[in-house]
Amino acid sequence: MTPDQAPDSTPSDAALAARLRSAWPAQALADGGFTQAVMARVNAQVQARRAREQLSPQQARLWAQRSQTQAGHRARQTRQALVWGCMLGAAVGAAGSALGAWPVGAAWLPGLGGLIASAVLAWSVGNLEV
Amino acid sequence: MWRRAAAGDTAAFERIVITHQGRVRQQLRRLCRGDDALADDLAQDTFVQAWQALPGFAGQSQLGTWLYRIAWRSYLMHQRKLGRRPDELLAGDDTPDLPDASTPHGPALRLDLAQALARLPEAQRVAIIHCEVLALSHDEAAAVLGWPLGTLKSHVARGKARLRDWLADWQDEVHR
Repeated sequence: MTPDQAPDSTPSDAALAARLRSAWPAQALADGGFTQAVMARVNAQVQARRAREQLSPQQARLWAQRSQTQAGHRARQTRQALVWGCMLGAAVGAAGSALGAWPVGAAWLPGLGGLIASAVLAWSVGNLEV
Repeated sequence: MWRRAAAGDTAAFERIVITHQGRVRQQLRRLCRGDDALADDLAQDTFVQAWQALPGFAGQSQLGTWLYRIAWRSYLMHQRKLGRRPDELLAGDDTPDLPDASTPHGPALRLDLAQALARLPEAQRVAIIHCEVLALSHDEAAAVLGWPLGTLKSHVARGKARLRDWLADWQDEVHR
């Protein structure tokens, strides 16, 4: 019974309180691996934080630069693949028209093929070089 | 000990868990109406959150009370996930009385203190759990729950009155 509860307490209040407290004593709860489970989670957090902190500022900068370089390299390769694909398609279209392989009006067809091929190539470059 | 734990000493924190796990788990088991697995999951979350928040714990309250407050918030978060709003807790007396003793299940329900507690309106149940089962003072319980002191006292008084009635009825039936 706490002091601020005492003034309005009656004997039946006290009996009820005693009964409620004795019904579920906290001390009777066996640990049963609970602490171990909590500490496993806490230790995992501690290790993750240490791993982050162990990365020196210089390493972090190098890591960021490397990531930026990789991203820039991938973008450049993608652009090159698109340009080469379009040029190849246009060249094949023009050569075919010159040789009379297909009507001049349909020369855009190989160009479209080249564009699609370059798009596929660009997609592969972007996906494979992760 | 909490200062060492706050500074990152996991061994000190482990001793805190060992010391307080029984009370925090008991609080959550009663709040979760005896769903021990759920209560222990929430208790684990409570201690992990406590570990993260310890550096900000300035010792202005007792560590045990502070842990009860985190546990109570974990319970509220869980209730929110189930679609219950926290203000529903304070909405009042919306739970029906126990079934009449003349119904087949009446006497059985009255026999069980846990059942009686579970049948209390939510706010009264929560107030009784903190003030009577966990034996917190009214001030401490109000701080843990974030309720006004008067509201808490009112819920405790009404909850106790109802429990006394139910238990008296049960005793009458036993001695009859």
